[in-house]
Formats: sequence, structure tokens, C-alpha cells
Amino acid sequence: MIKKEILTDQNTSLGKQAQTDDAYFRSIIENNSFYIIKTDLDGNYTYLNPFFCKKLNVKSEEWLGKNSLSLVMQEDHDICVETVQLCFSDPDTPRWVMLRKPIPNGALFTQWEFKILKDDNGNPFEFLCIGHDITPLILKQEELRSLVDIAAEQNKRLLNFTYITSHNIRSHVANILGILNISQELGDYQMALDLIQESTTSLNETLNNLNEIISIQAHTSLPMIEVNVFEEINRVIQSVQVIISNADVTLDYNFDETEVLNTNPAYFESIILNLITNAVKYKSPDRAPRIVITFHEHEHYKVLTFQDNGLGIDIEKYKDQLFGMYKTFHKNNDSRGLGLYITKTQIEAMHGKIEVESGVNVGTTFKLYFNQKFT
Amino acid sequence: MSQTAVCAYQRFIIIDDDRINNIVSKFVVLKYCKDADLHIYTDPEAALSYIQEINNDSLDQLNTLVFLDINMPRISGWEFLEALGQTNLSRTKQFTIFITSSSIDPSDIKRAQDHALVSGFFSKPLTFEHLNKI
Repeated sequence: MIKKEILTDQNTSLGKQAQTDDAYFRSIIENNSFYIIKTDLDGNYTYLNPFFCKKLNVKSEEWLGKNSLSLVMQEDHDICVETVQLCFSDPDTPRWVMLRKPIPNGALFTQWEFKILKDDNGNPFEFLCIGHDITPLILKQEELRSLVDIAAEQNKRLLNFTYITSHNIRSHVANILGILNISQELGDYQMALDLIQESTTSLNETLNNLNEIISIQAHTSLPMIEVNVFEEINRVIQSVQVIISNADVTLDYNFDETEVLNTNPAYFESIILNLITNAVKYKSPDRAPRIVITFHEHEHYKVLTFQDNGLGIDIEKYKDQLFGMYKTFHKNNDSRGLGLYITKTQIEAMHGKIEVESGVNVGTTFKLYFNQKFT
Repeated sequence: MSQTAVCAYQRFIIIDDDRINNIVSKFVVLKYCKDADLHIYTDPEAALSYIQEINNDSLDQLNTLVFLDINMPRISGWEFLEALGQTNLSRTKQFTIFITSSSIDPSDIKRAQDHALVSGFFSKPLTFEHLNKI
């Protein structure tokens, strides 16, 4: 433990030993790893070591006498005060606390030991606080936690995927078994054959769908190139021009025709195609369909927004299911419940994300976040 | 074929969006109980209104056996049961509900076993053995 004397100027010190001690202790308090500060019993600074001043970008003379809580982030005031109270309740035991400190571009995570120093009569006199920076550790920890979250999420999705796929394969197999079970009694072999044919075709289609999804998820090196947003969207529109014209859809492009983004062109096309055809499929019978497409940048994403004025969906109710596999929400016979699942899978394969807002009978807005850092 | 208790039900309702499965179920039920009063719904919402209608008709006291699929568009079997629970089914005893599904998700099977309104879980396709057990 550092004695309090060493922190004050020791002009009066005599003898070689004292001088050696002085240099020794000075080298400790002027170290470049640990913060050493002292406060009075009210928490006002009585000493700040050079390293602390340097890292927090403060001047010792400006802060002496000021309350040390001012250099603790608001969120950590309570825990800081609690720790001080613990010190008072048991002055012989040092206490540890993690405090965030404000710095010009964010926060510093710091770990501290608080200890009460006593005067000659054994009464609490001041606080000695020694701390160090654990920001890199915390950042690593956060990174790890997010990786664990992603892994857990992927595991959950895989398990769910397994149940869904087995269900979807089984449902066709169950039909075939069921038909075979009754075929003897049915007597009408042609009918049985037709039903088996239908089931087998569906089974085959299901397997193809699953293949498609697995191949998206399995893609490790996805070719990404820069595309012109307007041209690419226009190309998709051209390919479904008949549908667009028949439904009398109005398309509004609210962005500059020179905008570009990094994406996998095949996925981009598939995603746009799905959103456009969905907007047509689920148009409101009460108004002419209109799709407004906007574009903006957000952090390291380029964001495409598709807003339609269609049937909309009860987002509160179906939030968890909307991007789920084989989920359908409207009375359309041609809905397979795969489109949005594939769209989400494709955009996530490009390390992007998709968000949705919707109101029943108002319309639906999809926001596509294309990650521009992913190459 | 020996007829068992199941044919004492005065009405059968099959709710499943899968047309082929319904053909199989219909055949199995009718083969087992040839005079069965059978109602088949591919649209769960329509089935729900039908059951609510029965519930509201105090003169309709027919004992009813329901086969309910889980994975259906818009409303799942579970949501169907939830909606049924909320309709204040005044004569719960009138309805016996079995879940029929091709799901092998253990949570689905457990959920069926634990559900107050559900009497059992049958893995598709519906067979005479299933009917024997009712």
C-alpha cells in the first residue's frame, strides 16, 4: 500500500534511503498503466496522477477539489456511490468497482479498487482509488457475446429448419402412405395413382425448395459486385412487365439514378422480384397498387425501402412468423410461404438485414439493408 | 370391420389445408363408420365459424369429433384452439378434439398432450388403428 506522504512533495526528506524511496514511489505513481487518484471523504479530488489526466484528457489543477462523480458516466453514479458506502461500512476492506469514464469519443471502461485511508488516530481520512483500463477486454467480451448470440440463433434456426423440413417432407410421405393404405379398399386404382402422382410432385417440389434454401445458406464465397440500383430494379420490372401492367401498378423511384450498391446480383434480383410480386399479389382491392422505392445510407449499410399500399399484415400478431418458412397470411392459393423466408436468407447471406413495418389495409414497408463492408 | 366407440360420435369435423390428406381421412372415417356425418374444412377460419355456430345453437347437442391439423396457413392449429378457447365454448364436452399432424417436433406432441382442449395426437396419415384407439 502506498503511503499518503509519497504523494506530496517531500522537500523535507533527509537521507539517501528516503531519496531512493521517493524516486521509487514516484515511479509508481507516474506509471503508464494505472490510474491513481485520491479524494476527500466527500468524493472531491485531492490528487490525480499524470496517467489518469492524460487518458481522460483533463488537467489536474482544474479538477482538484471538484467532485469525482463528474468524471464518471451518469449510468454508473449509483454503483460508484454504493461502493463508497461499502467502504465506509467496513473501512478496512478494499472494494472493487467497474466504472465508465467519459472521453471525447465515447467511454472508457475502467476497473477500480477503492480504499479508505486513515489518519494517525485511525479515523477515515481520504479515499485512495487505483484503477486501470479494461476497455479492450470489454470490447472483446462484447464481440464474443455477439458471436455466441449469433451461434445460438443459428442453432435455433437449424433445429427449427430441421423440424419444418421433416414436417414438410413427411406431410407428402404421409399422404402417399395414406393413399396406399386405402388403395385396396378404394378399388379405384386410377384415382389412387393420380393422388400418388400429385403427392410425389409436391414432394419433389418441396425437396427442390429445400435445396434452394440450403444452397443459399451454404454459400461461403458469394461474388459481390457494384450494381446500379435503378438499372437493376428496372431490369426486374421489365421481366414482370405483364404482371405490373395487368395490375396497373404505379412505381415511384425516389432516388438518384446514379446510385450504386455492393451486392450479389442474383440475390439482388431475386429479392427485388419477390418484393415486387408480393406487392402485386397482396394489393388492396380498394386502391390502385403503388410502390414507392427509396434509397439512403445508414452506417455501413445502403438501404432500399419498398413501400406499398396493399393489404398489409397484422405485424403485432405475425411478427415472429412473417419471415418464417411455409407461413402464409392471406387467402391466396398461390402462396407457398417461401418468398420472404428466401429473401431474408439471401440478404442475411450477404450480411445484411431486412426490416418490415405494416398496417392492415394501409400497406407494407420493407427495408433492405445491404452491408457495404461485406465483400 | 368391427365398429367401435368412435362411430358413436354423431358428427365428424376434419380441419386440414391438405386436400389429399382430407381425401384419405374422409375415406378412412367413412369406411369405419359408414353413416358418419362428416364435415371437411380446408380453411381453418371457416371451420372456426362453423364450430362457433354449433356452439351458439343450443338445440345442437350432437357429440362431435374433431381432427385438427397444426400447420395451416394464416392460423395454425394452436391458434385455432386458442380462438376456440376464447369463444367461451359453453359445451366443451360436446367436442372431442384430436390433433393430426405430420410434425415430429416433440414440442408439438407435448403441447398436444398438455392442452386442455385436446384429447390426443395422431401422426398422419389417419388410420383405422387411430380410430380404434378413440
